[in-house]
Amino acid sequence: MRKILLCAAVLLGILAHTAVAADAKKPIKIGYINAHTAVAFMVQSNSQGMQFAIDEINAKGGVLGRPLELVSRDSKGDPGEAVRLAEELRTRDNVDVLINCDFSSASIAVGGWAKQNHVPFVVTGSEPDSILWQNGNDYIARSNPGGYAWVSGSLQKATEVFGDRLKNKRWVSIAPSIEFGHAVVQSAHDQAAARGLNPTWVAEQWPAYDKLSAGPTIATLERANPDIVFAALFGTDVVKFIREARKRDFIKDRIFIFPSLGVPEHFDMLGAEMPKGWVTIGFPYDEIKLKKPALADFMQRYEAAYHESVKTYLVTGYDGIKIFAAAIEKAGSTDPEKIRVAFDDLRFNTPYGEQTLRKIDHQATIPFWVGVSDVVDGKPKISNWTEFNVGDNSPPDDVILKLRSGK
Amino acid sequence: MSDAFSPPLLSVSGLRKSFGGVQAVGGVAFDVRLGQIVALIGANGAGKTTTFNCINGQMPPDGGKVIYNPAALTTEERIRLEREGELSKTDTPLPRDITGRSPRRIARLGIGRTFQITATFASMTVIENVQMVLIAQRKLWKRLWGFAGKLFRDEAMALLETVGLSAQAERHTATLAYGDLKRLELAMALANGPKLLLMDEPTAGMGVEERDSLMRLVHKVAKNQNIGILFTEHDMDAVFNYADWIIVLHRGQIIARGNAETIKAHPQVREVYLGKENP
Amino acid sequence: MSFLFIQLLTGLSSAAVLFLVASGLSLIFGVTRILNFAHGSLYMLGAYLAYTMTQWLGGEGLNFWLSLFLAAVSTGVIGAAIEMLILRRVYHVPELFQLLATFAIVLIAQDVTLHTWGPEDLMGPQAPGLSGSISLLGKPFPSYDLFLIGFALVVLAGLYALLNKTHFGVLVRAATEDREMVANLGTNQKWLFTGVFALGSFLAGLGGALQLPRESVSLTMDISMIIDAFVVVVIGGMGSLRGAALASIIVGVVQAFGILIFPQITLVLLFLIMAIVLVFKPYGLFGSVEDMTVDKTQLSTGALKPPSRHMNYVWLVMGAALLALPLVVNSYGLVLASEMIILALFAASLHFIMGPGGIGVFGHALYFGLGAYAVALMTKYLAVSMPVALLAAPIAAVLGALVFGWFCVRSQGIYLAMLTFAFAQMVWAVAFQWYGVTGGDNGLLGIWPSQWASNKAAFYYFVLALSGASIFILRHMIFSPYGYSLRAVRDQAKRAEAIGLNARVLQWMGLGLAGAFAGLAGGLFVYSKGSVFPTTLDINTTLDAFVMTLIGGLNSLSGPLVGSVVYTWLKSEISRQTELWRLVLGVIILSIVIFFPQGIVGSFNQWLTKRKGEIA
Repeated sequence: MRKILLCAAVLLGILAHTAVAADAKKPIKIGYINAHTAVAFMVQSNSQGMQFAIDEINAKGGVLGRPLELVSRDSKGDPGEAVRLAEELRTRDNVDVLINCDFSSASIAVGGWAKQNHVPFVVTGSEPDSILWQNGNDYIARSNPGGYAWVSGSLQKATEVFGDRLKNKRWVSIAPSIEFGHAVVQSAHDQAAARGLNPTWVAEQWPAYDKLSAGPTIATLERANPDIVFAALFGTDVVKFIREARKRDFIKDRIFIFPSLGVPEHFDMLGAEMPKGWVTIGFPYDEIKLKKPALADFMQRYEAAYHESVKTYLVTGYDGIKIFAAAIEKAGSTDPEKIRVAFDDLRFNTPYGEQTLRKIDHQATIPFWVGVSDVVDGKPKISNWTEFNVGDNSPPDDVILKLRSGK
Repeated sequence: MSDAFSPPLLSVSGLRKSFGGVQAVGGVAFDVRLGQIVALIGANGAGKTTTFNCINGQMPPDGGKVIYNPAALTTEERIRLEREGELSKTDTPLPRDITGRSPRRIARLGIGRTFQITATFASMTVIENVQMVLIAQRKLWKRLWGFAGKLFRDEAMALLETVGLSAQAERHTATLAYGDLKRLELAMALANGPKLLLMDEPTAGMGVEERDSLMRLVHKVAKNQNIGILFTEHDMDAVFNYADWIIVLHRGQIIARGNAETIKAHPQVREVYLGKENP
Repeated sequence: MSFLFIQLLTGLSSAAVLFLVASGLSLIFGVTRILNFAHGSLYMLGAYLAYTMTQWLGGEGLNFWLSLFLAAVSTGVIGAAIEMLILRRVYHVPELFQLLATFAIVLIAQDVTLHTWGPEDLMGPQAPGLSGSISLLGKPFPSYDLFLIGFALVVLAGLYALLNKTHFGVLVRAATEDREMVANLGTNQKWLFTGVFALGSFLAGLGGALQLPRESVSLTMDISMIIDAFVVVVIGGMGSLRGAALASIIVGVVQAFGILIFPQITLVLLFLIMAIVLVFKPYGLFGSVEDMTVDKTQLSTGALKPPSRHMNYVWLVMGAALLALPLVVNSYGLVLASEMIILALFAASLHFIMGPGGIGVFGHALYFGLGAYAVALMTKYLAVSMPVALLAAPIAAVLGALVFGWFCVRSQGIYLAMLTFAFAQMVWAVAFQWYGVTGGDNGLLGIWPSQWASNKAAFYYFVLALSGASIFILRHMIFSPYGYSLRAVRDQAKRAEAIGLNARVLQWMGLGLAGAFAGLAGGLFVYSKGSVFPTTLDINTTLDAFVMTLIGGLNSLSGPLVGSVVYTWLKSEISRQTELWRLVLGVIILSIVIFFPQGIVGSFNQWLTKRKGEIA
């Protein structure tokens, strides 16, 4: 008897505790859902980028005279948990807007929730475009380039480097069996055909993310005797793939288009083992900064503050905060409907200068770089790089609008 | 008291069992009759546990037959007699070959059993243990609704009365004295109204007085309810005082059978068995 | 031909590392009977330590090998420390609690590793002299892989010699084969256990260290390896060294060829092998039934009594309080309460089968997920309304439970638990990799409750009514003739058989019933989230149910309810307070296992009884 009463008391106590609403809401609160315990390496730099932006903005008096505050929660990479956190952040912590760095499945799920609950939401670390297109809605914006743009830039660069060597060849693909992999490989199929490369796809491998059995997989791919390998691996799988591919002579005489290879996170890991001559996205910040004083300034300030070099998801996190700052400034309030409208053609400041959120899908039309992987003095490097812009590397507007309308 | 000429209830013939080439039981044959208490004795390794387990279904024998109700009319005989208008009793049980059958099937024929190490349902009270047997016997185990604790209480209480445990009915089995656990086992074995009761070392681990009182109870029940009992036992007093018929095993063979006097006097038994324990 | 040969060798080289880790796991289980979930953490630790050692000593020449060796030895020392500091305190608790304790160690190790080595993947040096490849039948094959195969053979021979030629080995084998002997060892037992744990950890660390030249060291190494190692040990037979060796080879080789034939179902394959083996050999290739019978009844043996009249009143009061809840809390409170209630139903269904049923189910997510996906697929493809879809949830779960359960009840104890785990992982892999139908990792979205239940309070009441009724039915069934029969089988399988009960049919039915309610919980869960993801089927969902049920206490009816409320709350509160939530949660779970092995409610009851006794 006493036991049950105790249970009841505990239960009520717990729920009543959660009901206590924070009253003093001077700062503008940004709820940050991240897969800290699932992809720590990504989230670490991403959250530092956000904090850096917030410190910067608050030092200048905040937004609408109010300081920004980041409320961070770990989704463990579980989309269901991410949705619960969205609910919790909104109704318990009274955040005004949401931002994330998570698996794409969680981004899509929170995106749906954001629409249902009218909460502006910025994605800063998920490449699949279905977040903005098939599953898109007006409450979502994204600061990182999408998979379509990556593939588009990569194929363009590959054409530039290899010319006719790409035409009428045998292609294989290897990508993790998650949304990211499926999306990027699908884009590669579509765009390679559209560019008239006339590829024959002879094999495909879909290892589970983070569980690549490199040896057998590469042996199987090799058996298809491909000319061109399209890869979109990530994290630990990249190292396994490259080490094993090299030992098995899989690399020799083949063209590799590997968009996700060149993120700085992989660079640091691979070091001198970075393969040479692979087409990839890259962030040759040290060279870009020569042309972009804003970036040079940003890098210098960031490195002084954190004693760490600048990384991909750091900048997208930084930009995500800047998008909100600009949107709230433009909307003149934290009213979600006004922010949603403010997203349209929003102009915001980034380390690459002023950029825009595209009206039709709220994608940040930021620059990205594609080049060829290289090793110089024992250090990995992107050479022969070209700057692309997300805006120029997207399907036509009517295609995007059609995808968004769900037809 | 035991009528050697009453029809057998259980007939064991040519029972054999080997373990990895070592013969544990080699061609054992005997009968158990209604109301008769039969003891199976022998030194360790004589094969009595193996014999016992081959009968109760714990392990399948390599050869031989175990027949329950061997003297009863078979179905064919019944049909023939019925046709000839000579069948009087139709409700007598059929003969059943239970060789190598599972313990569950054997139990369903109305053969009760107790275990050497007491095996009661530890999370239930004394009376619930008996109720559980009754529920199983009436095939109510599929029923998902209603409180099991309310079923067959009177019947269970009567059984507890028989073994002298009615005062302890609501106690938790974990708190029961060892002797009482043995009685509870007996009540559970009696709950499915057996004609035959198989008891594996019923008095193992008990004190002298407890032992005697339990065996007296077993004896009483067997005679009152006309139940055939087959038991294995180490304690010679229990065997000689209460068994009607004693079978002595040695190296997998029966070396002697008969009543207590016969066995006590049997020279080979004295030599290989009694000589060591009762100098 | 040469391709097949190379593929075979590749499979064998994966088998080599698998064997090192699995043999340690198997040895530890054989002697201590602890299913060491933290074995994967030791493997990860071995890899990280090896990385650090090569940084200190340099990865050249002999120093490289010395680094690997030192890493393995350090892991062995850490393993011994874990055994002495933590596991020694849990040998007396039921084996599922021990599993829980090792799971807590996993959580703690994850945060410790993250904060020691940082979040980024680390890449160690190649093995000196073995960074290239050699030509076999005209194909290049990594020389390091060849080395691994040889090395594993050496370790196998070494272990064989250790077990057969040394006093320690004799003790280990004796302990594995004869449980009673262990009890008679006295103080030697302590050192035997510590020694075996150190040896097992050394092997795990060695396995991790040897991965250094093949892959980068990362924070997710632990879970991927422990699942594979479990599978290997179960296939081989728990505690059997040659079983671990043979099973490693089977798993390694089948996976190598599986990638060739079924690139889409690489994940399913592993569990399929395990399921097939266990269907034909319910105790693994070299396992024996005797191993399992010892601890089975330890799961829970306490008495269960139907609630007294007083209790019923209390339940009524509590029900009234729950009814009034929407007046008190805000919408998040309702969302959290709905989730807690759904999870309470989930935990209650697991309690039904683990407590009264006595079956250690380690894949309860299967039924939860089946129910969830049934609802989602019905809604998505047949556009049925919420009540119809919700009806499909328990039906799908029951069907799954009966089909998979039929195979499960042929096993016992830890094998049964691992078989349920294998089936859950298989269905998870299907949901994860069958993109066209299940949406893969994206799941299926936009499955919201019907209009009349879309309001958060309305949905809360709906959940409360359905889950409340279900929990009531589950509790009632425990005291039904069926519930008693199931408990009889748990208490005394032999006796139950001797009174004419069919243990397998009863347990099979139990899995079906527990599955039905878990499925319903899964269905409700989908509506509470508006979506379904493969995570509803994964090991974390299983672990959550497991933790909720065990920390509540298996011997009491309110255990799962208290467990789910406390655990859900703890988890969300701790992760609000600190990034180190895994560390804190791990420490809390460990404390519960060590200090309250009866679970929260069980220990509370004990305390009450004791206090009453003192007053009297």
